[in-house]
Amino acid sequence: MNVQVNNVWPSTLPLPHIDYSGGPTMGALVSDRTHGRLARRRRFYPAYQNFQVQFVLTPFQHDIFRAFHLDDLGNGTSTFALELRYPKNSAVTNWQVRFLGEIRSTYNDGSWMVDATICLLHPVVIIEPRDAVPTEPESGDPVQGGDDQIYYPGEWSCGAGIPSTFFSSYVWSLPEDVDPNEGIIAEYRAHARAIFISERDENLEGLTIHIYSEIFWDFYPTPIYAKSGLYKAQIGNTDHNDPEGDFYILVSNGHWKLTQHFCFS
Amino acid sequence: MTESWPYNLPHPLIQRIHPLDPRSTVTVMETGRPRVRREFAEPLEMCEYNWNFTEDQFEIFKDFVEVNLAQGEHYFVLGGFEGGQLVNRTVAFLSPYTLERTDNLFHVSAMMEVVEEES
Repeated sequence: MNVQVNNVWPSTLPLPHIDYSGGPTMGALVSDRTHGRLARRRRFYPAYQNFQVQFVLTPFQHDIFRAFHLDDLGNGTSTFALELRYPKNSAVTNWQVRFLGEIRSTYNDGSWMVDATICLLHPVVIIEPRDAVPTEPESGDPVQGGDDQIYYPGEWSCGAGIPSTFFSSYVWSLPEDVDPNEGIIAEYRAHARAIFISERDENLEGLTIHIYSEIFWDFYPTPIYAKSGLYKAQIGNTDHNDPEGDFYILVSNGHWKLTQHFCFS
Repeated sequence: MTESWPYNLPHPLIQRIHPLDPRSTVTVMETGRPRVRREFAEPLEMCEYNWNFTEDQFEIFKDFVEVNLAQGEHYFVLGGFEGGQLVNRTVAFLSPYTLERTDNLFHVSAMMEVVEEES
């Protein structure tokens, strides 16, 4: 069975405590004990597990978690991929999980202790997408070169909708109709207020991205072709004198993640 | 259909709870005097078992419950040491087992219905 998970636990947030508790849901129905001898009948084949997990988050991470829970998961209703040491202690398994019920956060000693119940639905295998095939800008023919020679579109841009003065751990997900095996085609799904202009890096060590503090209020989904990896991006500015430093974009599994955070003034 | 406990899994821990539910109807009168009406000739015998599994043993246990027992539908024979002797009971899950992962072990607890006992 192919399971497509559009949300991934933000890489900037820690994984839950290694210890957890819970158990499976029972697929067999047991008759009431007041009705004579007990009878059993299995009703379902899938065996789901509900676990109580704990996260310890800094206040900044807690803000990211709240934004992830509210925006990406639609108030906690959508599933997402999370790495857990279950069923093996010695191996990390990616699971499609979903939050159940209340999330209880306790602030103590400068940290947030978050208690949550998650339901493990299916183990998922993250497929590394194939590298984007470089093409000539005009003819569209594949670029002739070595296997390690990768070209990027000379320029792309995208803008976003909801005004925000704060960048957090946004994830750009693949559109649902795009096969992740067809190369990374990231659609700018999150909200930002910037123009991205990429520059071709002939050294192939990374994609340099300049971010200018121009604001677009409309949504411009633009395909982005890139190779998996960690890219350093720089913040530039044209209208404001407020450079804020560097951040990084992690391109992985069809998702783009900001791995450091900055504020736009 | 009665399954056998996997040979490569350990016996349950010694300490266990063994409840008996007579399943009688208890009516407390206004004076506080209770009246008890028997509904069944035999009580419902239960036993709570506990195990500490390694990760490999837990995987075997999980497969045993999901596949061999059809997620708790079938009975199975489970042995446990009591008073220095092995007591085999035919049991079945009364509710889903609970799991607690701590100290690099999987601590599993389950309340079973006991349908037969032989020592």
